Amino acid sequence: MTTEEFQQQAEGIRLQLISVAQKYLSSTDEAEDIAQDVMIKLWLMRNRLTLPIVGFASMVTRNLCIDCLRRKHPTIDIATLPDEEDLSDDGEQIEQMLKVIDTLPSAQRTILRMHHLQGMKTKEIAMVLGSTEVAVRKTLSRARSVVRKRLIALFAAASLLIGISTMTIRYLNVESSDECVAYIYGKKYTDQQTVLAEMKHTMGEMTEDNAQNEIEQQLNDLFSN
Amino acid sequence: MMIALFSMLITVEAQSGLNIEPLFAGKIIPQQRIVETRVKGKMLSKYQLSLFRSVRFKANNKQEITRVHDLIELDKKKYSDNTYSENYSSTKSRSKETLMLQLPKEGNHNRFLCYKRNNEEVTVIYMEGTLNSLDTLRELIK
Repeated sequence: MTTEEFQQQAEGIRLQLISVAQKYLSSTDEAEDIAQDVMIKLWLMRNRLTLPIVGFASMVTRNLCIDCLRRKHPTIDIATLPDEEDLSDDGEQIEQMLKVIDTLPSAQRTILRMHHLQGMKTKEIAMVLGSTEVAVRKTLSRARSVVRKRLIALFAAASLLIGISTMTIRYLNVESSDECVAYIYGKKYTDQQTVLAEMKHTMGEMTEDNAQNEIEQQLNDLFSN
Repeated sequence: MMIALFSMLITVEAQSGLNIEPLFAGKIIPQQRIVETRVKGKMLSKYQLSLFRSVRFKANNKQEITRVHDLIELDKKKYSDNTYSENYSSTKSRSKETLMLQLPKEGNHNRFLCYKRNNEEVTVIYMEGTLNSLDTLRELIK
């Protein structure tokens, strides 16, 4: 199928595909995204398509709707979560952003790439996809918003991890470190000899035999009454 | 989970939770009037201790004695089952008194709180370690 043939077909079936998608999905926005998605898939395989494409396009739409419904209960593989080190410099941050873009629905992903990486204008993208410029802008805006939110969440998680690690290290250092200090009437002493002498003096005073004191105490109590 | 982790990470002074804690924090007697020692770590191993904190001072008036005495009294009541030894009066009429409390264990550490007053001279000690009893400490100091 030629590019011109595809463009003609795309204009004709787009609304039909939205209608098919709406039967599965409650949101009109989601249905439009799915229809966009289907158009992209068809565009990428246009050389292998034969006219008419409406039946095939409807089947692809149904399958994508089912995929979309499955995605509503997503799971996250812990192994794929980024390490804090992954965000350590600009190159890695770009790589991280590309990873986030890869997680977008294919319509959003493709339009974002067409616009930002291949430098295509929204008008050109709309022509290629058989969509309107407004719809492309809307999808682009949604894609940017999702990328922004996911990156913020990733960076926040990374910052939190760094914060916790720093606190842990500091805590462990504090816990394991020795301390030897005495404040004698406001003057600080840190030499071990002075501090330990003071400590031993205080300890000894506390643990000394109190028999003599007790006798004195009892005598005091007796004569003070 | 994060909250639990944070609460674990916040360094808490070992003697916190005791009523006498403000004395160690310098909130009762100004630092210029006290002799305070803080020793932690390996140098205490010969005494079977891991932490030693003491504060001693000469009271300027009866209110200072009363305030410290009352705080010690509260800790004594809180851990009344753990009184190790005492020559102590709740009425504060005596000029000399001592009180030694063995506090509930924290982890593997035994904890002790000691209070001594000789007229205006007041000494309070907080200790932590594997030390089993103050009798052992007395032997170790000799």
